[in-house]
Amino acid sequence: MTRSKVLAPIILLLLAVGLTAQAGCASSGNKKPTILVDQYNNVPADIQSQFLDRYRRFITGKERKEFEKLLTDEERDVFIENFWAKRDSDPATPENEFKKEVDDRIENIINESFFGTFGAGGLMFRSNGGFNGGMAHVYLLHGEPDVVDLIEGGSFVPMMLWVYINPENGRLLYAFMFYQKGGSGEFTLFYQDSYKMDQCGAIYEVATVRSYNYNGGGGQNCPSDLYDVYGEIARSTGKNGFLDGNMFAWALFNFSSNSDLKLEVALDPPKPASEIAVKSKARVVGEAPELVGTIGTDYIINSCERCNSLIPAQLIFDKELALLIRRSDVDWRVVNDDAGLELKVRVMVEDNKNQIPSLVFEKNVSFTDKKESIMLDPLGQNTVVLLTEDEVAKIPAGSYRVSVYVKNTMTQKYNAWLREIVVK
Amino acid sequence: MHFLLAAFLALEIVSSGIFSQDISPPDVENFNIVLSKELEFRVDDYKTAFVGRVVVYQNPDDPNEYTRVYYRQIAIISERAQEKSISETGVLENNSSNLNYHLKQEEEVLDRVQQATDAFAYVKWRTDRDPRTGQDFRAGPLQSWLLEQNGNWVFSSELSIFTMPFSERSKANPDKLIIVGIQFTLAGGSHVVRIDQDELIIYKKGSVDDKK
Repeated sequence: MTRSKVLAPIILLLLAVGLTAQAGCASSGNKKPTILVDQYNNVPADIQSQFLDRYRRFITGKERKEFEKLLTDEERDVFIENFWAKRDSDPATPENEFKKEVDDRIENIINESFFGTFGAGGLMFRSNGGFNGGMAHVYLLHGEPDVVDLIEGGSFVPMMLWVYINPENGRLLYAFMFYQKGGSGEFTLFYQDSYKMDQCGAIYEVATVRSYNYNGGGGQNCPSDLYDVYGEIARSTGKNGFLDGNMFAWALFNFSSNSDLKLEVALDPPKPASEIAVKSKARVVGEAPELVGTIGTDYIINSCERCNSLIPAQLIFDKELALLIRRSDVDWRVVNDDAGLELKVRVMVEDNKNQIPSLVFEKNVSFTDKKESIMLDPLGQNTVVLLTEDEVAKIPAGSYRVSVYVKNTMTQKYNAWLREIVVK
Repeated sequence: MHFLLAAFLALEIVSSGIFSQDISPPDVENFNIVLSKELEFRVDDYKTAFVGRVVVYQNPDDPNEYTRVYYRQIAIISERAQEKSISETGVLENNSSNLNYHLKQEEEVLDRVQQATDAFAYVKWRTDRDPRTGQDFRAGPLQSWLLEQNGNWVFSSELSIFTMPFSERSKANPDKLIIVGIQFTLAGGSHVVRIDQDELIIYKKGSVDDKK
């Protein structure tokens, strides 16, 4: 059954019956009651007016403020559309994979299917804060963990660990710790970041045996019974057998094997995929810059059957290094009556016997012609000097492998030659 | 100091001679496309150069006749993200998202660039069917055409077009040879499709700037 088929009757049922039952959810004043698709987990329905509640884990503070300023439903629709579009993990497909993943996770919370399939005995979102609880928070953002395990002991409260492995290197990426504060009730998130500098405080937080008060101050003020608690945690074995007590003891003060990763950041709304893509170092370059018209400037872009990307030209080696180019085979920038051509030139001269270092000539060569000549005599040829007689004279006698690269800086069309030559 | 023209001049003369003959490449307009792929090479682990496209056509009037055409384009360098973004952003899916966005950008740029290409090599052949095995095999010699850098065609009814990587000393590290293109040769004629090394170096500067 598709998701929409599942949701439609539920929403209708709630509209007809459930609203009165849920009216108490409304805070006060004019705020509309929340329409829920799962009253046990308090999951808001997927409707525009509840966008901020249903997707609160994914909306940044800035976006929330922007959304709240919107005045019309049309504006809100546009906002929501853009919100998902920039998070789409694969922009090449018509489907928004990211939104689908989020909605699938919400559906799994409603159905409690995560724990139904995972075998983490008896754990349910609804008994642990529901949609707004820590477990749902982590599950919505990061999906199903790779490993879940729990420990219980006489001197500490029940603790649960959700472990995520980094697929790139197989190391521990996240260790989300949950604990039953006070020894019973729902599992709530344990904030390891808070105890990074106060490890004794972390043990104190999960300890049930507290013969002395601990008022902070770190290891020097740490009562000895807390060391015993720590020892019992470390000696424990996970109920599912996946994790041992050492792992839990480690996770009291650590969130990831990568110390740069913070729990706080991992619980923040993730950055949109499009934003990450822009900031990444991925690039595609080489394309010609767009030719923008300026007053008095025009272009002659030739597109003969072999000059769409090539600059067909005869390379001439003599006292100079030059190109013989047909006017119609190259692109021109025209200002008034003059046509200009700028070529980026790179000539690399390599000694075949590697007796002397490579000689490299790099320069931009400008050439001008009359616009009229190009129009009236397109098959006429121009000689463009790449290396002058003086530059050629710098090449010592010998046999060389010469690589010549020429590119029109305006359109990126290019040509390249490789020659074996002998200089006397 | 003068260059001794030797083989170079001889090559130009041969080319000119060939050009005067009717060696125009075959017309593949209205032929069926059997295969179409990018003409590309790896610069390093992260950079791929796209220099053209290779298309195999089948003659609809003679299904046993095929022509492979090499098209060249403005050279594009596609560089994938080098840093793992999981630690940067704390979200597992980011790397694949980056790649998806990058591939989309790559595809869009290639679509634009490949609006204007030049065919620079043709290889034409026929197939026949082995009655015993029922499998197709190439029958008869290849016919090959190669556009020289001066715009003239070289033709051979016996030789195949030979391709090899075109390497140069790296501008960034002159002790190192890097592949910057592909060289096609046929019967003394040559055609090079390549990238601009400066595009690689510009990348490096960009990376440094990004970190600031």
